[in-house]
Amino acid sequence: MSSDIYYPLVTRAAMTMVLADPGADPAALPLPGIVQILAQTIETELDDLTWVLHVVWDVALPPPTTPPTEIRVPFGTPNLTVFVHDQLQQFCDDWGIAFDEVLIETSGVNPDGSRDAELWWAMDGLTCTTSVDYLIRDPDQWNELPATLGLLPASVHSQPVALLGPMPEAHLVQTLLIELMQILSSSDPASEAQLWWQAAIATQRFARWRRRWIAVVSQIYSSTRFKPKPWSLDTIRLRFEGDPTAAVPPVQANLDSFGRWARGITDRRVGVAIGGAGAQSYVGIPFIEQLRDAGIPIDILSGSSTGAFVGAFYAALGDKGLTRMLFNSNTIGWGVFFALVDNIPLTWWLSWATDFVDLSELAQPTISVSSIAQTGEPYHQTSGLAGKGLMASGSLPPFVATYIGNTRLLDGGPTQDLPTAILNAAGAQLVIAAQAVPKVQSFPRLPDQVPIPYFKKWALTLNPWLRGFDAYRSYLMLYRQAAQGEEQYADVFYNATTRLSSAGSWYAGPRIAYEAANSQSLKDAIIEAKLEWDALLEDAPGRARINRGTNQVETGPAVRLGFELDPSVVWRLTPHAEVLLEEVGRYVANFATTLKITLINIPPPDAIDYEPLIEAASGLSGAQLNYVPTILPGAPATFSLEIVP
Amino acid sequence: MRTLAPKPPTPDKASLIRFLLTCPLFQRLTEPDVEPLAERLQMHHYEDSTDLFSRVATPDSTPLRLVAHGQASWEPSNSSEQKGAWMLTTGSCFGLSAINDWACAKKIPSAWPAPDPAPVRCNAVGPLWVLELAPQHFDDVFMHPQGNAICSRLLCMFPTGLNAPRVVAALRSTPQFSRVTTPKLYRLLERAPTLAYGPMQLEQPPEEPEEPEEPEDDDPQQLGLEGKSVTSPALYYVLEGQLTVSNDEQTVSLGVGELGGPGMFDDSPQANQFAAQATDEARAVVLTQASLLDQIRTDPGLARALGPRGLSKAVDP
Repeated sequence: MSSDIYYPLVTRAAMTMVLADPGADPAALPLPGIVQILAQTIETELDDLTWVLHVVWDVALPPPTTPPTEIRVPFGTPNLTVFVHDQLQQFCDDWGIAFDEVLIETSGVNPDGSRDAELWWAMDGLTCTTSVDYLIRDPDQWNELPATLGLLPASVHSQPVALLGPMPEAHLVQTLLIELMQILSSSDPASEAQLWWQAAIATQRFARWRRRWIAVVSQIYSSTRFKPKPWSLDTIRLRFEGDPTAAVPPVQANLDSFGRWARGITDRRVGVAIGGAGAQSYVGIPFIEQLRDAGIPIDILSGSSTGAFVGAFYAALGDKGLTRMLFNSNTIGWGVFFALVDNIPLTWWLSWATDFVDLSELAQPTISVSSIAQTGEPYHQTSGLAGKGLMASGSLPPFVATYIGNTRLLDGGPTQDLPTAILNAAGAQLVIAAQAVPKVQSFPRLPDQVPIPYFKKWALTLNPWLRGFDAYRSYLMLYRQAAQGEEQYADVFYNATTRLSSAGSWYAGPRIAYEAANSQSLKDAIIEAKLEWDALLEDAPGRARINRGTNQVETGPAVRLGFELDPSVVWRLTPHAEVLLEEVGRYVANFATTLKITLINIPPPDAIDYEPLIEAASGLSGAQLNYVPTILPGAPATFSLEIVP
Repeated sequence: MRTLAPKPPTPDKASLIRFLLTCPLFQRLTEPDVEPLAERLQMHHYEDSTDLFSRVATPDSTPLRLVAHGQASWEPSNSSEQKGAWMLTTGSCFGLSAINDWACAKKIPSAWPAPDPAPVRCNAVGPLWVLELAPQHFDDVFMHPQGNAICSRLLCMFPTGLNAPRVVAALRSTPQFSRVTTPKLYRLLERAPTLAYGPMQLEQPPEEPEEPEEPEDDDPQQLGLEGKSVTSPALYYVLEGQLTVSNDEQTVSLGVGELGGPGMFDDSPQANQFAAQATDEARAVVLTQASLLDQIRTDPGLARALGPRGLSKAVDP
């Protein structure tokens, strides 16, 4: 495929430095262990060769390993930035070709985060792809970086990584009743009750619950006073339970967090958008389930109207959330009906059904899209009470609008029914979209040959029921057009189909989900999504690396190794071969004995011509080069490289 | 929790220079080149959702802005892109229209002679830190003896920004860039200046060397609008006129709205001399292989996104 197209040669690992904001209390984080597990996750889940470098003070350390696991900084080094930069560049030159990803962990010289800026600047100007992942516990720690760290290099990709706290207690009264029963049924209720009370006081359980309750109620009634600040749009969110470096027992939340982080570091995040279409958005339920069953991760969700409901229910509660939506379609339907005059009852129900969670607390960022009535702009909500955000996203006129603060919000459909572009902005490399708006149901009409007096037609056009019905169907037609317009940003576009469409009939939600689950269009979309996900796991077409496990020099399909005639009809190496031989030659000179070159179907030049070329490019002597000519019928003329340790 | 600083800190000149030299727009400039700009920049802080062009901006009121930290959405009224497709991030420069208007008023030949650009909606997405150059300082910076290089850069980028949605659409229609996400392509275009070809070549000073420049110096951002040819592989998106781009092996003729150029993905740039010429005046957005490589270094997923799906391994249907 595309054998005549060439791509940039990538011979060096990407380098990512993991730093923690002083406010994130890096001293309390087991960063070396966390980064090590992150590297293992990248290796096992994404098949990238990964290495970890720890930046430490050079004090009483054992002899360095090969490749080195540490950058050893002598005490009293006057300029940490320059020293670390030079060491990283040295590692990049020596070992960059042997890895896909190098993670740099700095807690050895920077235990409290006070030298973040110096280390950040050390990444500037390296001859490889560079990025910094910055751990934060509060959005302001990221928002204030110019005030705390000063100006940071624009040439280094930066990525906020949020360390979320534990999920807040949702149904306290219910939990208390259960705990009360346990205390009463214990052998010594009095001492059990005392212990329970002491624990509650120590953890400020009731105070936290009271604060949360105030935040919930105030937000439901449109106040933004207690609305949390949003994380930056592209933030990777981690939620660790217990010690994240403890391998046993395996904690699913920790495994999920490392997976999300691994995909974030390597730019392989997957975003799923679910379009708003009333009850038809129930097609999103089997869509998510089948994506998960196909092994496709979901890192970010977005949706408008009921599509946002599906996304947020899943992000908040997982499968339980999807089931809750399925079993409560009638409840939502009644809520929508009452929303003709007041949507507070539905807001309460949505908040309860999502465990009163805040969008900023979701480990899978969920973007609920609504439209700002005053400006006609889409509003991408990533923080605030989920139930309120979902209600705003579903406030389709003529149902009442939703106020958040003084902003009057309408349904997300008029501005972004299928929010795909925002997923790219949030860092999704692969966008999978479910377009839920159906084609309107067609009804039989009388043939033109049947005579109907004009006044009857005129009477029909004035019929308010028929006009309302036409308006409703016009909505669907317009929304479908709008949603189709979002296809350009989606890598996979699932145009949902069901046998009968009924966007306004909520009782039909389960039937819609069932029909979609068994539809050919969903099966096709899942197959395509799987192909796209597999493609995301591939290397760059121009990638070349040394696999230290096999000693092979592995090259992507766009790497051209061979010979060509220059304009003066003299043989020379292809430019890819020239660069790669230089890199591999340096590696062999430092860490191996011989470079084996298998010449496959190489026509003239003769050995007398090409051997000096290879020697010059690799910088190796003839004794360090071993040529093996081979004829492979049908294969192109090229050569492959192998390291002899 | 710490609170936001009541007054944005003002970075010192050395920090500003160091930062400016890492921005895509000013890459490969020298410290003296950016010094006049660094002396006049002021840090400003905007809250989430701030509309940075809250009214129809007039040239004498709009500053030149450079994102120091944070994100902002950018939506020209004449573009069909959805909100989120075009995002300004650290190092992005905006407010170039004001620079162009200033250059027109000063009768600087390389100013873009376009009518008023379409209104733009630019909103902060989260808190935004911006370095600003106030319009009253344009003269001080750009008329400064050292300010010419930076002025040329900015003027080169103005037409690229105006036409970016069209260029991005054209890039996405190529097999090489079809999988690259839209925000990444807009970011890539921050390294793609608009150059002029044709009659303007005649206006070059006679002391300019006629030989093509060495590849390592062949950065179009350094060439300004004087109409020199890019001598390394590049993609051209023609905005005006007819452009003929050739190397030793082939010649490509490009009209308005066409994207192309031999050898952008060739691996044999050393022997081939690339040249772009126009029979009449022509202007084109130029994206060189070197710019693409620079962007790959700052964008972790870009190299992998190049090329059609399944290029790197056989796809089993």
